Amino acid sequence: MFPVAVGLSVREPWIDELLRLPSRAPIDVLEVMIDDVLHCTGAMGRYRRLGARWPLIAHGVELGIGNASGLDVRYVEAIGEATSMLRTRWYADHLCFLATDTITLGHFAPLTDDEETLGVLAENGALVADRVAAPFLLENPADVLGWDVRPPDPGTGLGRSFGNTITAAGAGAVLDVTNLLYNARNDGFSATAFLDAMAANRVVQIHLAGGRKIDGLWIDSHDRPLEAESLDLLRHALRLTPNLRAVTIEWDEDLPTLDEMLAEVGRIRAVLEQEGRR
Amino acid sequence: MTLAARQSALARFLVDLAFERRVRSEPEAVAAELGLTPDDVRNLAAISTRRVIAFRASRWVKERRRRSGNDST
Repeated sequence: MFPVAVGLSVREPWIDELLRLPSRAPIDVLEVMIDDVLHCTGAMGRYRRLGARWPLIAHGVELGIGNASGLDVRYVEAIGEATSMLRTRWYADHLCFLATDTITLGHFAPLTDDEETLGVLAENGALVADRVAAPFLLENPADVLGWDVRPPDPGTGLGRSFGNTITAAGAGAVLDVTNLLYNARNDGFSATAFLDAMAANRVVQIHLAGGRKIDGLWIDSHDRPLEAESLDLLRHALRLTPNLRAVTIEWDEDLPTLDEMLAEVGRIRAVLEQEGRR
Repeated sequence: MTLAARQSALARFLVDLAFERRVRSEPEAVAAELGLTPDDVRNLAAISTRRVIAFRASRWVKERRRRSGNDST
C-alpha cells in the first residue's frame, strides 16, 4: 500500500503564514479550492507559490456531475486550465446535481444509481476526462434529505449506489468520512456497512471535518475540531482503501489559527501511523 | 419519466415553498401536471419539512461562504 499524505484544505487567511513556515513539515499536501482560483483575481499566483513548496490537490464545488441538463463546458475547460497550471495531483468535486434548465441550486442535490442517472454520469464524466488532464474524483456529499435510504440495509444499499455512480462516471473517490458519519447518524444506518459495500479500492483521498447537531440533524458545518468517532471511522476506512494517497481536513466557519489546524493534522497523522499507513 | 423532469421537480421542491406545499397537499395533481409518476411525487412528499429546512439553511450558508471565498462542502 502507498504511504498516505496528510494535509489541510487551504483558506485564504492561512496562506501567508503557510508560506512563512520554515519547512514543509508537518504538512505533506495542500488542497486548493479550485473555484477560488477561478473566481479570485490574483489567487493563481498565491497558489502557485504554495505549489512550489507542497504538492497540491484540487477540490471544487460547482461542477454538478449529475446534472441531466449537462455540464457547463466553459467551466470544465477553465478547471482543466487551472489544474494544469497548478499541476494538481487530481481534481475532485461532489457526486450530486446542482442545476436544472431553470433552477440553479448551488448546493448538492442527491442522485440515485438508476440506469438513466448512470448514463448521465458516464456522459458528463467523459467530458471531464476529455477536458481535464488530472485524474478525476467524486466525493460522497452530506445529504440532509435522506434521499434513497431504503430498508432493510440502507448502509449497504447506499454504499453500493455510491460505488455504482462513481464507476459510471469513470472517477475515483474522495471518501468524506464525516459526511458518511453524519448521514449514518441522521438516517440510522451503519457507516461501516456503507464502507464495506462501496468500491473502496477507488478511494484516493479522505476528507475529515467537524460539525454539529442542529435542530436534531447532524450538519457538516466545518466549524469544530474532529470528533473521536470520525477518527474511529477513519481507522476502519484505512483498512479498506489500498489506493488511498491523502487525508485532508476541512474547516470553513470560525476559522482557527494555523497552529490549531496543524494540531488537528497531527491527530490524523497519529491515526495513520498507528494503522501503518505512513 | 425522464431524469431531467425528476431533477426539476426535486430542485423546485427545495427552493419553492408554494410548490413544496402543493406536493404535500395535492400529490396526484402535481404528478399529472408535471408528467411525473405517483412514486416520483411520493418520494418528494416523504422528505420531512425539517429536512427541507435544513437543506435550505445549508444552501444559504453555502452561498454566504461562496461570496466570502470559503466553501469546501
